[in-house]
Amino acid sequence: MKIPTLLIAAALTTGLLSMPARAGDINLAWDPTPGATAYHVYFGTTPGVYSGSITTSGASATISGLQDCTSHFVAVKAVNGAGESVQYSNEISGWPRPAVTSSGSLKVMQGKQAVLDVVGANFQPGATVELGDSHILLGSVSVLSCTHLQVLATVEPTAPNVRPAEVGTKDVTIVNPDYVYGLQAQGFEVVINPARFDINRSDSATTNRIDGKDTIYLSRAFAASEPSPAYDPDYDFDGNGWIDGTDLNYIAINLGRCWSSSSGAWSSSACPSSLQ
Amino acid sequence: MTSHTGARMKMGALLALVALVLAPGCGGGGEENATGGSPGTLAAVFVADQFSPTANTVSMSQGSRSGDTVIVKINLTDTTSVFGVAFDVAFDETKATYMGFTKGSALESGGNTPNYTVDGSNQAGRVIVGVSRAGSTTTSVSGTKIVISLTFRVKEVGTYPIAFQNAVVTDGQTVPQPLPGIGWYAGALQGS
Repeated sequence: MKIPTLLIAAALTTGLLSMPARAGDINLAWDPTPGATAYHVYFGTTPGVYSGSITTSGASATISGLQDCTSHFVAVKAVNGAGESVQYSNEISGWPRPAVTSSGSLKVMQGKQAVLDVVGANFQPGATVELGDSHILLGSVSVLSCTHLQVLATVEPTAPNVRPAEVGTKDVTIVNPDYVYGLQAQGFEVVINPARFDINRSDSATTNRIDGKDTIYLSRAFAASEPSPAYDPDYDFDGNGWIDGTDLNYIAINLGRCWSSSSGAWSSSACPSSLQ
Repeated sequence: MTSHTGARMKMGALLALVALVLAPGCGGGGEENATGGSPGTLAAVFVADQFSPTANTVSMSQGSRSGDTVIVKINLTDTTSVFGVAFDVAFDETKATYMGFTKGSALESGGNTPNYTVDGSNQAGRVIVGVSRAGSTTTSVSGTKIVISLTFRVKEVGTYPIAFQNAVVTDGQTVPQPLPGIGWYAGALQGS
């Protein structure tokens, strides 16, 4: 009988991408063997020495309950009515899938930095972190242990005329060097920076106050989207790539209010008495 | 607080704005006519500082009135290259109450649907107004046209001045700039 050929070590296939990350899992797939009615999947923690096996009828399998942060070695034999193939397939090895149990549900305001502290399992040296927003800049990842990593996250805009990160929650995805990944859904949140709402900076009399002039400025760029030249990232408060009614509403709801640096918010009481 | 817009936007944003327009108890925002004044003997009027506005002026004048409620029209007269108008209207909140606004026509030429952003709730005794055209084109106002109308209810007998503050009429540059030489004329609410 033909020896099955493994395709991918600890493979991620399209059908498995949406599965919740679970520590202790290895997913793999191989080329089907003509005439095979089943496959025996052997695994162990020493090359060529297999301490366990599972049987599957298809050309893929998930091995569960494996010890985390440990290399596991896997090979497959094809099975039919005549028995099991004599030889193993090629052997593959890998860690179980990385899993995130906590990222601190970190909330970071636009324009700020924070250290993302990720706790989980099976983080390998060289692992990377992805948040799915190119306007959140991530520093180099420090894999402190196989269960703990840190990365510095910088949430744009950190300067004028820089496209902001989009407000909302992001999935925290850890990708090991072998491209096996795990994620925590909505483990990171970008919070809007209200200090950005005062877009009229040319009039010193009303700097740090939101009024009708700010609405005129925003209206001048209304309905512009990136990459239109009319798109001004300073007016895109929520970072969705559009200057639209949502952005105008952030101004509208704070009309007449002044910036309180002590509370980091817009309030009527922060205005000078002449504007109250 | 109320915000109107006629420019293109995503549906989510549009729904949010509609919700704001329809929201009750939103600090006096929304469009409203000077009808339904409180029954009683108090009669409200508005006395303008400038009855014959000249070119390049923004002036208040009386609109319709009913009982203790009166509409104050904010007019723009013979002004070119207008993109937006912004101002505060300051009044004595112990003597009058801001009830709402009605959109005008001064900035609507060429089929434009301006953004109206108005709040009368964040600060007592102050209505903050921003009206601007959608897109980038400006308009030239010929004669006297209404930018926006504000409705007030007068609480007591007496004369109570209202005033423009932080007022500007802007052009349509990428960063809109104030048009020079604009005159601003307000007036007073009266209850009798």
